Amino acid sequence: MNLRGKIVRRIQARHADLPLPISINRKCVYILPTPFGLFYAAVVLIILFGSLNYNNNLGLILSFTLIGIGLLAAVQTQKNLTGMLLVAVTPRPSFAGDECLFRLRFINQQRAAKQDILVEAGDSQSALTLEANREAEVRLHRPCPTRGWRSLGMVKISTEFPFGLFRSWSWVGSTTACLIYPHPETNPPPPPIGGRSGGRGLATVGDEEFEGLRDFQPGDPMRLIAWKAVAHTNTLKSKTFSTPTQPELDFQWETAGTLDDERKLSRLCAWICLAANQDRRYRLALPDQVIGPAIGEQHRDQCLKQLALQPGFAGQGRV
Amino acid sequence: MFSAVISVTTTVIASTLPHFFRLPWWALAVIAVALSWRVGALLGHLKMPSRWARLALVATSTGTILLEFGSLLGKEPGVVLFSIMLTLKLFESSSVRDLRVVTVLCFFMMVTQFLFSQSLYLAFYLLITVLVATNSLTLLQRARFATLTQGEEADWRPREVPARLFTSTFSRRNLSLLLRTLPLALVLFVLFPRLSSPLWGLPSDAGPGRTGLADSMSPGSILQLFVDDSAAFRVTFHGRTPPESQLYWRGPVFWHFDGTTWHPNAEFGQQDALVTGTENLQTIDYEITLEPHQGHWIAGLDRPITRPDRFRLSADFQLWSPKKISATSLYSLSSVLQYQDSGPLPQRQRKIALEYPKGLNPLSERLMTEWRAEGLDDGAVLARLLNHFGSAPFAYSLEPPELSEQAVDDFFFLTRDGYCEHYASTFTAMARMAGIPARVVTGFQGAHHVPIGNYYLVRNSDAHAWSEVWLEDRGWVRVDPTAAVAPERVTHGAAAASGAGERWYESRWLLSFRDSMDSIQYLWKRWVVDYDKIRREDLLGELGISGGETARQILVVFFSTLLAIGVSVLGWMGWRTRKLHPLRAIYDRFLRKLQKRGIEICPSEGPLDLLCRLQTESPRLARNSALFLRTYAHARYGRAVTDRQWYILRQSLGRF
Repeated sequence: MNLRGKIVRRIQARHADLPLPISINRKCVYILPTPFGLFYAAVVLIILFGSLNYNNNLGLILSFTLIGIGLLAAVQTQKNLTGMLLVAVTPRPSFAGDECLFRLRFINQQRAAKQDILVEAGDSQSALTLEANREAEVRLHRPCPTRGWRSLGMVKISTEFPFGLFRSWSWVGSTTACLIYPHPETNPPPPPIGGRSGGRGLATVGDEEFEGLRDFQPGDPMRLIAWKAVAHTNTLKSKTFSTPTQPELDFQWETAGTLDDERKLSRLCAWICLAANQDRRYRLALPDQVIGPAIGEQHRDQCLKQLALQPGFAGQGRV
Repeated sequence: MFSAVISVTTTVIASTLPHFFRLPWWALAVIAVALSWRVGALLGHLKMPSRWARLALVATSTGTILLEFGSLLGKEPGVVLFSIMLTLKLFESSSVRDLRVVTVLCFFMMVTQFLFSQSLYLAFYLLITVLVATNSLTLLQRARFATLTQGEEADWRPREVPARLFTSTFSRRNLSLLLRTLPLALVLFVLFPRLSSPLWGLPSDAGPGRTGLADSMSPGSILQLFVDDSAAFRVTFHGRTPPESQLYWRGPVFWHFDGTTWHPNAEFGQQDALVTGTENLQTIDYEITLEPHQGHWIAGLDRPITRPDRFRLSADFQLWSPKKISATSLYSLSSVLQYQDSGPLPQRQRKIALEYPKGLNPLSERLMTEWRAEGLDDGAVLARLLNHFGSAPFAYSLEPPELSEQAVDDFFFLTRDGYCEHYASTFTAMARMAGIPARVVTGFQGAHHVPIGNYYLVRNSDAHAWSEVWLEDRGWVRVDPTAAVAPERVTHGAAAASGAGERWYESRWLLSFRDSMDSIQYLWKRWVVDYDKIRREDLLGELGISGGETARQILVVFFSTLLAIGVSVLGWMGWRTRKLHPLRAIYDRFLRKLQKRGIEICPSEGPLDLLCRLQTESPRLARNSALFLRTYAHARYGRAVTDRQWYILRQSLGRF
């Protein structure tokens, strides 16, 4: 790694892994002139020395005014960043091979608005404008080729406001990480029908013919809520249907098919996603734990999380 | 981006505008067409001209400049070429980088203005132009940011020209930024060291052209000065002030007469005057600020008896400067009104002072011979001559008939109509014909008192010519034949004497306004434009900063000033913007009070959670702070803070 890379890494290390909320203040904002700023400085120096030589006092006034503008521009550029607070980093889990999304929320603690701020993480960048005493959100995408935890990495916040003469920047490293589920297999073979039948005294909730309404119970799928009834009675009601009960699904590690462990995870992931889309009840049996049987979003997320966090196999693992 | 291009075009126009009257008409046409084309291309109506078209335009412009000015080097051709090329650079591309370069080059364009003028109005205009340029830079930075975040074609479509281009918030912010740089610029201007001699060569035309009194006098040469109301010089008297009728300001002195034109004598000009016998005389002490006129003469009250070291006083009591007067000069002098030349007239001077083209004006020569034959002595001859001038039909006018080669005869016997040049020339010539040594002196007569600055202003229109004759027992004596024919000229100025009527600028209220403007101009000139090394050392000495020439002292002053101003500017800005939202500020104070009582503050805890925690940890504190925390929660997360809430918050905080 070259010298510049080393220096950057060392500076970044000072700002890495800080707990939220991260305050961006004078201690962590760096500032340097841009190439255009250097050109401007050269021109001003030429005007200065030319005016000195010919004792042209108005030319001197011009050059001093331009010097003053340059200085105040540097101050303003730095002030455009300081006084911000990064209060939240919200990841949204996604699947391996996709991009995962991080939502960063900033608060401007000062009375002056901040504008033209560039927030970058890797290749992803986004513009940020903060009004006085307001918050704003920025979305950054990170590629996630493998499953597991994906941290945001170092985020660079930079600005060249107002004249482009100086650039000030700061590094923010948050510990928040995003969970990446395994990539679901495309066109998986149909899952084996689960061994246990759906009895056990549990009332099953199928979906074919409308039977009636009952009070909403937490855990009922949202798409079964009868909204018109809700509008009339002001309480949540779910529809019930009578169908021949569908058998409960049982996804097992051992019977997932192929030999390759990662592909087993992909297949299980695909099954879980399909089952969740169809609102089927399912159970997941992994070597170290059993989840379910249950239904709903939370159950799906839980299962996928456990799939993602399976201990690493040869060649794969934490990102 | 659209507004950025408009703004940069405006910057180019603004920085070139003061050259409007200096650029040749064809250059103005080229620039106007180019700028309109650029705006048309921006709006989509026109296509941008191709590279060949632009090159051709540059080539033809260069050729025309060479034709008109003879070379590309020099102030005027350089400015014309630069302004055309700056305008054409707008066509090169629409990238942010090129437009930024154009904006910075506009600063150079402004510098070229100062080669021609450094007036106060230009300084104000300069600030406006800098403001427009900063607006351009802001818009360009915005455009670049948009390109970065939204891709290349962001914001390229023309919208309606933002009417708020010059009044939007960033414009106001730039204005306040500009105003805040002025104190720094002022301090730097006063303290920054100046050079006593240039680092590299001075081009010959690094300043305005030649004005004022000429090296020779022929009929009509002073006339063009009568219409020039600009200041020739300004005088501050220390002590006694002579009456206006005795204010004769001595300029070039002329000895040689060829029938129509008077020329100076180089030999007498180079010799130094011998000033004697002034101990008992009452001197007039004064200070003159002389406007640059690219000549060598120095104005002084008749007769100057001292001279500043850098000037010379010639044998004919003319002050002159070896170096061209190309900048405003300040100097102190002493003069005496009645001066007695001691000793006889040197032979050489007598010989030249009696020369005239013999036989050219026979009528005058014969008249003088007749008067001498009557037994009149020198004084009587001159008195009779003045008498003639003072009576009919001699008249004073600014538009006399033309004279032939026999100027003296024509004037004295035929036309009898003219102004100071004619009268002085004729009088001197006829005195020579009568055997009296005489010479012509040009300069200025009178002065206008400006009460605001308490100085006297002498304008170019006060130019005057008179005569000096040598009388045996009195030496050189000034005789003003114009005073004989038109005494009001001496007290009221040339135009008034010719009956041209009160000039529009001499009405009373306008006069005082003009006086104010002139004194402002005078102060501007004195303290800004001509703030040179000498002035600076004086000022620093008065301020107590010892003016040693050591580089270290200069550096210390310079950098400490920079630091002080920088810190104060930073500090003020910091104080202003670091103020938190007032609600937040009150909550912070409350938290600090809690901290003092030993409660740990957890930043992620909200006010109501904090209250719960307090109820478990310290019920007494919880009781006291319940009202505050609840009100704060309502105020902070509710819709708007009411006055009642503020009241409760402040009261409970105070009681805490």
